Amino acid sequence: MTRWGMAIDTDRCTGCGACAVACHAENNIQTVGEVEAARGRAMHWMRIERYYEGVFPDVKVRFQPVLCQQCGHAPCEPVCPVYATYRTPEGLNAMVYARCIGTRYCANNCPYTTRYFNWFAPEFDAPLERQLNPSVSVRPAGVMEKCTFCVQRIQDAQEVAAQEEREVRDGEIKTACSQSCPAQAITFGDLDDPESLVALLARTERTTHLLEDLSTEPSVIYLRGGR
Amino acid sequence: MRRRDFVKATSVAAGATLLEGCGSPEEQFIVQRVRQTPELPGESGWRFSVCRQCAAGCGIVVRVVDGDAKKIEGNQAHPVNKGGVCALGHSLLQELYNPDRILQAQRSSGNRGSGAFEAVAWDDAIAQVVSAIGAVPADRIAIVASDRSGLTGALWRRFAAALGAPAPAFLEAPELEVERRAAQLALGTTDLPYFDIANADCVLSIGAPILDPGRSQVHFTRAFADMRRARPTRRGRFIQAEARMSLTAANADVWLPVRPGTEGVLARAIAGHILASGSVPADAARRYRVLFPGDAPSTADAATQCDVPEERIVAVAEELRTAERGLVIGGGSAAAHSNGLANVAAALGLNVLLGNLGRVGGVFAPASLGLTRTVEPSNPADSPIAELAARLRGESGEPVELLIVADADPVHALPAGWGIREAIGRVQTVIVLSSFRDDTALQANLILPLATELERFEAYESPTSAGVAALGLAEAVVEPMGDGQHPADILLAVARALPESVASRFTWASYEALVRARVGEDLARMPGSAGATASAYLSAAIDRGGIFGDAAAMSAPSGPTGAAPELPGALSEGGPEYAFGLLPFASVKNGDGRGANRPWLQEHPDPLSTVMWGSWVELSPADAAELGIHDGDRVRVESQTGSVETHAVIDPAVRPGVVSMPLGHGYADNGRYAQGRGANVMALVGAGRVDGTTASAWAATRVRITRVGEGTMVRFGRRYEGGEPELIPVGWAPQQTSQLVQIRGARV
Amino acid sequence: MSGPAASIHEEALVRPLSGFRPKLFFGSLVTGLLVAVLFYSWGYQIVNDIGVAGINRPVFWGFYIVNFVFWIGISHAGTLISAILRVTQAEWRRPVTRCAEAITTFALMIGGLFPLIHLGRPWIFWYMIPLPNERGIWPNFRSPLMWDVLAITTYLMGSILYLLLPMIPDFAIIRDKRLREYPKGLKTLFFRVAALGWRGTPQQWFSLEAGIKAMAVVIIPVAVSVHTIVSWDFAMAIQPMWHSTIFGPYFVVGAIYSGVAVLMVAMYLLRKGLGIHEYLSDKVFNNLGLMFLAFAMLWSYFTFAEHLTVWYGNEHAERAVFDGRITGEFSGFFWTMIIVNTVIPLLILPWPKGRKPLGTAIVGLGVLVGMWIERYLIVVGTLSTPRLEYTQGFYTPSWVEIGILVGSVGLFGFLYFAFLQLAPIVSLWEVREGEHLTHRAFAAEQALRAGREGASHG
Ligand SMILES: Nc1nc2c(c(=O)[nH]1)N[C@H]1C(S)=C(S)[C@@H](COP(=O)(O)OP(=O)(O)OC[C@H]3O[C@@H](n4cnc5c(=O)[nH]c(N)nc54)[C@H](O)[C@@H]3O)O[C@H]1N2
Ligand SMILES: Nc1nc2c(c(=O)[nH]1)N[C@H]1C(S)=C(S)[C@@H](COP(=O)(O)OP(=O)(O)OC[C@H]3O[C@@H](n4cnc5c(=O)[nH]c(N)nc54)[C@H](O)[C@@H]3O)O[C@H]1N2
Ligand code: SF4
Ligand code: SF4
Ligand code: SF4
Ligand code: SF4
Ligand code: SF4
Repeated sequence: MTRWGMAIDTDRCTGCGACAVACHAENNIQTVGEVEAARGRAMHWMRIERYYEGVFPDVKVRFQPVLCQQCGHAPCEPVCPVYATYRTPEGLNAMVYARCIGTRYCANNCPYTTRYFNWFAPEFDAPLERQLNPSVSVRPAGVMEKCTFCVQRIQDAQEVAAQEEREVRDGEIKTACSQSCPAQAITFGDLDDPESLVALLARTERTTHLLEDLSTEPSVIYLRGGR
Repeated sequence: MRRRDFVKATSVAAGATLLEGCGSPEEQFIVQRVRQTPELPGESGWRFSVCRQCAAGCGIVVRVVDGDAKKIEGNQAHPVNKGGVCALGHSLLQELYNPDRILQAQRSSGNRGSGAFEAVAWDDAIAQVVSAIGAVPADRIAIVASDRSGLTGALWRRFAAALGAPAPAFLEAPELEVERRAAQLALGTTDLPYFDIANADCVLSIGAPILDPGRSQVHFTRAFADMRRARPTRRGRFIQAEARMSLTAANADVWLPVRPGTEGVLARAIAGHILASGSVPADAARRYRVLFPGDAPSTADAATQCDVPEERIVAVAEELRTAERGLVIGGGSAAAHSNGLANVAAALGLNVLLGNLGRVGGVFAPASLGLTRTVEPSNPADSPIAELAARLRGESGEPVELLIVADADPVHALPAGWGIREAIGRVQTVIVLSSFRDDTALQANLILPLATELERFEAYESPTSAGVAALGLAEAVVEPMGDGQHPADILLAVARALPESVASRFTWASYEALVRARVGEDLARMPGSAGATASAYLSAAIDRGGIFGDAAAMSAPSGPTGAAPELPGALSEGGPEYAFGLLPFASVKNGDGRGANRPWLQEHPDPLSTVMWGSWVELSPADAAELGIHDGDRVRVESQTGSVETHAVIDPAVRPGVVSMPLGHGYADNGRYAQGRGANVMALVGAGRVDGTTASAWAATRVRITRVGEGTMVRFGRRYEGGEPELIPVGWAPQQTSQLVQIRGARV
Repeated sequence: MSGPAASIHEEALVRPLSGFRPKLFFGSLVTGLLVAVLFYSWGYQIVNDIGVAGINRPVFWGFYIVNFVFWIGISHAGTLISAILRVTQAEWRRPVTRCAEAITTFALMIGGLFPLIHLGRPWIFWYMIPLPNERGIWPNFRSPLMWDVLAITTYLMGSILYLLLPMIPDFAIIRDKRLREYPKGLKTLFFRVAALGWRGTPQQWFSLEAGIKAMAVVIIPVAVSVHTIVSWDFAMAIQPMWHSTIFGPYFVVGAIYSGVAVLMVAMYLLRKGLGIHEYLSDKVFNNLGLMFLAFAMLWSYFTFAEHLTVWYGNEHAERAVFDGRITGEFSGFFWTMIIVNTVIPLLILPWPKGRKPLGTAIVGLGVLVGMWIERYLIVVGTLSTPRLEYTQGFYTPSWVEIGILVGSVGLFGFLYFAFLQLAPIVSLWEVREGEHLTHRAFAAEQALRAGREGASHG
């Protein structure tokens, strides 16, 4: 079986945020504008969390890119009353926008707060809409959304592989965030393929998960910084 | 037809035209706009291009569906970015499809500066430029352009020379002039050297904000990451000596928050420590004394001056000395004090002591394809931008009656202390090549719109950050949205319409023709050209996104060429009533202002402050408490030169006594996303210059801060609420991967 | 005659049912305006999208869910209380049941409205209804929201039935009265239909009593399940200070507590407004006041237990929420809640003087505010303090949410005023039955005494 996963090397990541903008471009994520952003409604499927440690002058900054962790036991899934969010056989936590009625229960129950809600219908001042990615739907008002692990890119690669009658090769699929990352901090691949780079990274001494104690079984792995 | 076949077809055609065109007028050469790929509706393809959003010039690939550009990714083959793209690079799409982009030439239709414009036909606009040039004495013309190093820059020099006008000035980050000058003194390079960060074991950066945007963010980020994690047995360490907690400092293993302006003292003290240890070969020590004949300050002295504990200075010096490959870089705010040249020279000079010249993990000479060679006048000398400012103010040189500004916004970017904003109003005719009503274009009589790099043939040679020569080369990937053109094509169109004496020196039909001709002429010098015809070589180059040099050709710099100025204390502008040193900086949010008109970037949180949609000033908790300022309050920031209002961000990583503000905010127009948002920090910066150069000492301004009242600041993340920052994210459990996640295979 | 003989004070009870009653008219007018505010605000929200509310990320739930829990809690006023009293055959219950059951029904209707108001796309709320469809997609019965849908629907149906059943003989009484006074009136027609052909035959009485008894037994577990399930909306989630095992009973206790509170206030107003001191007597207030006191102590105990374990357990994320309540930005709310829900009731209710109508009504009013705050603390306090500290947020309700809250109170009042004009607020026949039983017992006693006396003389 395939189980898509991602490894983020926090020792490589500089917090530059290129991944977050790449995600906006790839996934037709709306920008909500100043007023809405001030109300806590900005949408960043990928966000760079910044934490301070210590006091000046011995203060340290840590950056941590956080996206949907594509949990193996996703707390967001069982609470959705209409099956608008569910787990795919390939281990993705998927959203069916057409079914979402907007209870926002899933977002409440996501311990990583990685779900974003369309409080208003997205607006793209003409001709900005010409940039929209035709492979990704634009979500209407009242609908929940979040990182999809760039499922459209996974499917594209799978189609090409199927046409060429072969398996998808490791490294062939790059999510938009991992493609852009100037530091190459993000590695995407199949965790169930022991030969894949992401599985290799998942077995290193530096491997850790976010909120591991909650047993959500995230598919996103963080490689700790430092030596 | 596949893209590859198509590229071949067009390139062959182009090559054939070139060959035919030998001797005959090249007017037959039509600007090749978009390759008309016969695609099925809905089919998507990837096309190479070059990102021109900053001077780095990364190679990109663009997804095009039904003629529209959809997504930008990095070209893996390009040595500068190796497949990465930064936030600003992505947002190029929002320049292309910006609702407020100027698509037709505009003529001022009211009082200049009032913002009233009317559309003009392209040919009329060109004619207007031609007549404006004819109407003034050549020595009263002034030209400001960007792209100092590329072919476009060479064309502007040629243009000014042909007109008999003073040499053009180039608008770039001011500290680069200082860094170049310091590199020339300390390392003997003509341009910025290449630092092999990826292969170093310990990097000391004295002020250079390499991971921040503005120079070559993608390249340096990759190098930094590779330094840490690309080698199985070594993890390189990074030490940042800088007064501000920049993005670079935030990623460093060690941050030395030195007192602003004392960076050179730190570097000299470290040099003294290393020299005293006796581990420096005699030859290296001798060469170093060419640069600094005098005695170095003691580490104890440095500790007092820099306000950093002595043991930390000694520890850094020891780490650098004992590292197998210790590397030192310098620049940024260290270069932007009155003593900036000495600061950077002191930093770069350490490489001489460490034996870094031409060594893996060390310093290399810049590399270039040399394409500008025959385009530039024989003795190219640029006008310093400070000199141009003085001319505009009428203080020196010939007064300016015609100002041509190409793809630059000096009114926004230059210090208010230089008085450009007021002076430009007195210039009779201002012609601006710009796609937005930025602060300079607002003052124009005539605005000529530009094509984005995606709509035009592009050739851009990256400055030397990649170590090897890198010329990004690409044909247009989408149809132009409007009349805009490449600045070089506008220049050529104007030049051809000028009298014969000028026109005869610009025989290229287009920028593309020029580039093809130059590569053809110098084919033998081009990397990997052995045995290829010019057309085949070019089509292969376009097929991979450019011409990229060979790492084997990297060479060592020659070493110190003269004595650096000794280290005077940094001068600052503003008396004791101005309690704070002001450090302007470029945030990944808006960059130097180029990103201000793009919603993706306005809504992109600054990595440290997490502010969106506006500007801010960073204050230390102690200073804020003393001033009675709370996080998010509106505050007034005043210097001798000017005063602005913005929001306060209280940040536990700010050095007390120092405040900083991002560049690229506070536009009068510049499109709906930028208009009236935030404040321009350059409005505070005074007229000071870096000694021994013409560059602005932008880090030398002192300011005072007063609370105006409560404010609402747009933040993405949690703000700092005082007390001790203890925030280590929950879940950074020190334990290994839990057993819950089954991963097949053994642990490595 | 449809039942036991009329009581002497009944006129006060049936008076509101006919003619122009200025107090009722005025009340309906004011509350009707508030209803207009409710529907205007909601309409505005539907037209302009859910974003006009103040909720955001991470506080995805706000006033609407607070109100939902609050009203569902209120709904435990009637059905449950009256059912418990019926089952335990507490005689003093007779004048109280009707007005309490009406509260239940209306509060449930309003509570049930809030999840709809809360939806991002309310027009497709019916995806939660298990309708057969060609795609074979069913609702997700693992979601506590689905349990809500089922539990609340069941409770609402049950409550309506439980309210209506005992009203049949009363409708018949009024029908008979009106047939004499205004035989042609429209309202008379209403009562003729509502009485469902009640003639008071022994068979009818037998069926009615059996039905009421059965409903009383059934409705208690349903009511308990409803607020347990509402609590599970939170307790099933893994958010700090939601994921608690005691939430089920805690919520049920809180619900009954707020239910009794609203009952105290309503009874006080009815007694004043309708002048029915004979029915809603001091004794009734005293007895309910004792029940009120019991729940005040129960609720306080649960609240203490809940917070003690969180504090003692000292888990990082939970402590963050806890601190927010005790000393942080929610402390004002928290300590107000403790004062009105624990301190004031425990100071007033233990004393017989405190259990007079005015005292209980004042305590009731405070408890209503306190119980609303409790839900606000649970919803907003937790959501604004998620585990990843970077994403912490805040919440300020918008005018739409405030309008809908105020409007919902108005809707409740409006429905209640309408109800007062359609049915006697005190069950006529049950009171008559009670008096009848008293008379019969008295008569039997008299007879016995008389017999004994006669025998001793003989
Ligand atoms: N423009 C355009 N038109 C097309 C096509 C296209 O590609 N482009 N494709 C054509 C084809 S191939 C098809 S099959 C049709 C499909 O056409 P439709 O069947 O109309 O397909 P959808 O719009 O995907 O879904 C219909 C509705 O089902 C709702 N829905 C989701 N879950 C449920 C549920 O549990 N119960 C109920 N009752 N409704 C639910 C969704 O909210 C949505 O409004 O469209 C055809 N028309
Ligand atoms: N996310 C999401 N996924 C869905 C659906 C959804 O609603 N949402 N709907 C599902 C449904 S109902 C359907 S029917 C499928 C449709 O899925 P697909 O069958 O993949 O449909 P299209 O993408 O419309 O068309 C496929 C290709 O056919 C090409 N084409 C057009 N005309 C011709 C022709 O004459 N000959 C050939 N050889 N090719 C041609 C088009 O260019 C296009 O590349 O998608 C399913 N997948
Ligand atoms: S792009 Fe890479 S380096 Fe930049 S923030 Fe994202 S993960 Fe970190
Ligand atoms: S991270 Fe959140 S949204 Fe993503 S699968 Fe886990 S619980 Fe669901
Ligand atoms: S917001 Fe949408 S996806 Fe989330 S629980 Fe509600 S219906 Fe399901
Ligand atoms: S995987 Fe794709 S959807 Fe998820 S954060 Fe990265 S770019 Fe966005
Ligand atoms: S670093 Fe400069 S050239 Fe490279 S992608 Fe970013 S903006 Fe473009």
